[in-house]
Amino acid sequence: MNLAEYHPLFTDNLQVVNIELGAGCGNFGQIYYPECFITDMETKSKLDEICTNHFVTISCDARNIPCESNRFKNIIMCNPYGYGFKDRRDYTFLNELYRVSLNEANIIILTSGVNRFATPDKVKIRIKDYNLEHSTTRFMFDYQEIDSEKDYEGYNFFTTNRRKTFPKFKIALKCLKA
Amino acid sequence: MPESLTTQFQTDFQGLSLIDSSKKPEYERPFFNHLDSLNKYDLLFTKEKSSFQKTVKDKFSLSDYLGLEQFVMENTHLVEPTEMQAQEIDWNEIDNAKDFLQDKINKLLGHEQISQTLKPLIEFTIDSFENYAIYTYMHPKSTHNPWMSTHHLLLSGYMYLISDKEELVKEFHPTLYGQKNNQDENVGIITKAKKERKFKGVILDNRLTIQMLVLNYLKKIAPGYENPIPKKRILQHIEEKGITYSDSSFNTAVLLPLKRTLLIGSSSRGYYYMEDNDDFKTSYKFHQSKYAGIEFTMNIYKEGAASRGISL
Repeated sequence: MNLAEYHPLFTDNLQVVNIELGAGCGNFGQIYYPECFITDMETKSKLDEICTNHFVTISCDARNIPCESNRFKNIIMCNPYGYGFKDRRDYTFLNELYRVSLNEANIIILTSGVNRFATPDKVKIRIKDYNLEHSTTRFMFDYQEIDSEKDYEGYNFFTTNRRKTFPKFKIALKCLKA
Repeated sequence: MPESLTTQFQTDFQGLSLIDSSKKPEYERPFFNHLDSLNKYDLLFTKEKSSFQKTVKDKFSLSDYLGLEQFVMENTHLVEPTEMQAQEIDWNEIDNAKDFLQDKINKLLGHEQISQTLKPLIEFTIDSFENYAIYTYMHPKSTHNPWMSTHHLLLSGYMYLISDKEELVKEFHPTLYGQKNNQDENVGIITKAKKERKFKGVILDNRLTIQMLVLNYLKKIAPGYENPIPKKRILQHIEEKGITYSDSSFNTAVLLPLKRTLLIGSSSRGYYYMEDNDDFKTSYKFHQSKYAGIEFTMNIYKEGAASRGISL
C-alpha cells in the first residue's frame, strides 16, 4: 500500500491513535477509548440500511487497513466475526495488526468462548504459533473473564444480524516492536 | 473431548470422495434443513423476547447467516435439553481435523486445488465442518446440530458455498440468478461434484422471513388449540403481502419447519400458535393419529408382501 492509498482521515488526524475494527452498528471504541476511528468492512450506505444508527467513518478491511505503519496505540474489536484468528498458519490478520500497531500497543478483543474467529483458547494458540514463526515475541497474550452487562453497563453488544450478545472474555494482546 | 470423536472425523475423511455429479434433490433439501435449523434458534428467541419483527422486504444476507451462526453457538440452551451442559471445546483437535479435511480435499481436487476460484468454496466447506465439530464438541449426543445435514452432504461427496455476492456466485454458475422468483432473493447455494469446473446450485427463497411472518400471524390470530385457522387463510395472508407459494412448497418451506420448532401446532381444524401444555397435547395426539393411520397401512403392506413372498 503506498501513501496515496491511505485514507485521508487516517493521514489528517494523526492525534487520533485508537481504532475500532469491525464495529458494525456499534461505537464501543468511541465510548471507552475516546478519540477513536470507528471502522467496518461494510460500506456506509450498506450500514445505513442495516443499522438504526451507525458511527462508522471509514470502511475498510481489518486485514488491510489503509494507513501507515506504527499508527495505533489501542486497537479494539467487539465480537469479531468473519475475520480474526480462524485458521492455523493464516497470519494475514496478525501481520496487519503488527504493522499498524505502535510499540506496546494494546489490542483489545471482547469475545465469547465459542466464537471460532476469536475465542481466547484459539487466539492463544495463534499467538504462540505466530511468535514461534517469527522467533520473537511480537505479541503477548492475556485474557480475563468479564461480566459485560456490569463492566460495560448500558452498552449493548450485537451479533452481525443484530441479535444481542454478551461477551464473556476480554483478550488483551500487547504488541512488542522494540 | 471424547477420544472417539477425533478418530471418527479422521475415519470419515479418509473415506471421503467427491460425488460424480450433483443432483438437486440430493443437495437442496439438506441445505434448506440446515437453514431451517439455524432459523429455529431465532424463532425460539423471538418467542422468548417478542422483540423482532420481519417484513417481506427484509433480505437474507450472508451477514445474517454469519449472525445466525454466532447466535446459535452462543445460545444452544434454547434448543438443547436443559440438563445437558455445553462441554468444553478442544480447539487444537478441531484445527487438526480441519487440516486433515483440507489435505483430503486437496488430494481429491488434484491440480484444481490451486484454482483461486475454488478457494471460497473450499473455505466455506471447511468452515461448515468447523461449525459442525464445535457443536458436536459442545453437545456430543445432540440431534439438533444445525450443521448435521451439511456435514452429511460433505460425507456424501459434495463441496459447497453459500454467498450473497452476485459476482462470486456467477463465477461458479453464470445463470443461477436467472432463477430468482423475486428481486429480494440474493443468496445463492453452490455445490461442486467431481467433474472439473462443473457447479450446480439453487437460490434461497425468502422462507426464513416467511416463517417469522407466519409465526407472528398465528400468534396474533390463532392463539391456542381452540382457535386454529386453516392453511388457506394463512396462504391468503402472505399472498396479501405479495408472496405466492404452492400448497406443497408452503408445507415443506414454512409449516413443517415451524412445527418442528414446537411453536405451532396443528389439528384437523388447522394451525395454531402453541401457548400451553394443552396445545402441545392436542397437536401431539393429532400427529399420533396420523402416524397410527400410516402404521396401519404399512402393516397391510407387510402382510401383503409376506403372502406374496416379496422380500421388503
